[in-house]
Amino acid sequence: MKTSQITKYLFKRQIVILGEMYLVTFAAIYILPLLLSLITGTLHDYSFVRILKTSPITGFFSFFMFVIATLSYENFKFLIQNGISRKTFFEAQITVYGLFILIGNTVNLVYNYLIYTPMTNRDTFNIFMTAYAKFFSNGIITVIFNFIFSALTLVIMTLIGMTIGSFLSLFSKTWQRILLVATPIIGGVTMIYIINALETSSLKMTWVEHFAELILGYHRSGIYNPFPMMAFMLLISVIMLAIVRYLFSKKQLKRE
Amino acid sequence: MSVLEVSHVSKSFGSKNVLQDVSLTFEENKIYGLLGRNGAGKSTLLNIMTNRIFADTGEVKIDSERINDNDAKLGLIFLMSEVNLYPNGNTLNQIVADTELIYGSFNHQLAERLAKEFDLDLTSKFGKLSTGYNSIFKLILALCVPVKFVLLDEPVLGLDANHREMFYSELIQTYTDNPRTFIISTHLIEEVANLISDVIVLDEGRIMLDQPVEDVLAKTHSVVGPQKDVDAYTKGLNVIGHDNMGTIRVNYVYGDLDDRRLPDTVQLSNFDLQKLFIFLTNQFEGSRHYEN
Repeated sequence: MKTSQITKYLFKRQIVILGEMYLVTFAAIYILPLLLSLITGTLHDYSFVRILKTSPITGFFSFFMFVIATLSYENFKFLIQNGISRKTFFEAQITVYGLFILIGNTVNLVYNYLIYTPMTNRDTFNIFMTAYAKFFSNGIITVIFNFIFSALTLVIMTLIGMTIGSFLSLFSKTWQRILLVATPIIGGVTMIYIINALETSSLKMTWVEHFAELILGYHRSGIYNPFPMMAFMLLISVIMLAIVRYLFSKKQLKRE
Repeated sequence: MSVLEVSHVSKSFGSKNVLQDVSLTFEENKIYGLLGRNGAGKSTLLNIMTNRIFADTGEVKIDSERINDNDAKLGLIFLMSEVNLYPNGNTLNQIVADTELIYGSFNHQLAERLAKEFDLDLTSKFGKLSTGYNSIFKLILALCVPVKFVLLDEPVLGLDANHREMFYSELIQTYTDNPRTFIISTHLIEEVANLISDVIVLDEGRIMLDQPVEDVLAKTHSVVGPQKDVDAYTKGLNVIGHDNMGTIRVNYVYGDLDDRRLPDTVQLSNFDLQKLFIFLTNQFEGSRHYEN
């Protein structure tokens, strides 16, 4: 097995993209508004704190993980050229994304706890802090579970990206275009149909509500329990990991 | 001694059967010529042998181990083909470094010498190379990676005559210095005829011929003379083609000659691999008798 070499190769290649993403994000959020304020002569309106409050900086990393996870075919081409099996590619890619999630999640939380919160006097910077932080009385435990919860969210985002990317990579470019156009349309129409059907139904989605309450850890007191949601995310991750492994095993060189 | 085996491999694309029950054995330290007309299934076979695509049925093994999901065995084969699988934005030096990282070693000395001889700038970006230099770079990689089986699919695509000559001479040199198995798929039969030890002819997805070149050429006979005498002499033999030059007739026979007496007016000689290939794959009457 050449998993360590391939992990090194993929990490080296993709960490550059991660660095570029952080640079572009920084430039787009802080530098660009400043430049525009200078050009338009509205520098007095430029507020660093306001930008901090309104910019979903940590969300960019989730988006990055989703996007990079969809792009697996280019690496597959190079690796199959060099006699690397699909199994090794999968294992190395999962390791690299795991490392990225550790790095990105740490950067996100350090940023949120040490920069965002003190500067904005807000601590509701992510889903966990908005809904589940009050469940824990100890600050350190809260941070630890925030890290785990956020990491699981990133894992889900990454695996969704990998599933979509790996699935599409099984098709020719023509079929990929058809699927990319048709899926949102068919999905949207189906959703509208289901919502209309449920609205007129006497069931009124009672079971859906109850299930959602269970998963979300809802409690009347308003203090949500994060563990059902974490367990659910873990379960979904395991299922999606199995799907991605299967899709990786079906990758082939396309006739282009 | 490593052996690469292809067993009962079949592959279809839609309704087209590209490979039909192909079985082959490639032994170590030989140079094979894989010949076939356009669409015969050569590239598909090479892609299956390197696990780039899957066969519908059948399997590929190295030393009795399947190559599927087997890094140890896949790492023994390198396929250089027309398809570009390298990142266009990378420099050639980066690609060499990444290739070395994956294979564990790389013959830098040879790579640098070849790059200099072919006047290839290794600081260029892969995507900026011309067709000829694209082939040259991929050939350099193929000759410098530490593998036992080097598969070359149309290796001289886009190369001018001088570069082709240089490549063939380097191929012989590297084979002499470090014997390993080469499988060369090409349409330029005359150019490789003196290089290859064994010839495989694929036709419409089936193996038509799989023998040492020496044995094959020993079975080729061009019978030249007046038409009446030539036809009489070759009656009952496996005539795969013919030419007429005025009153002179040439019948091309593939197979062993029996003890029949050669008329004084008729001359016998051997003919070359290219002619044999053309006749065999032209579906001339008799050609189907020699499936092997």
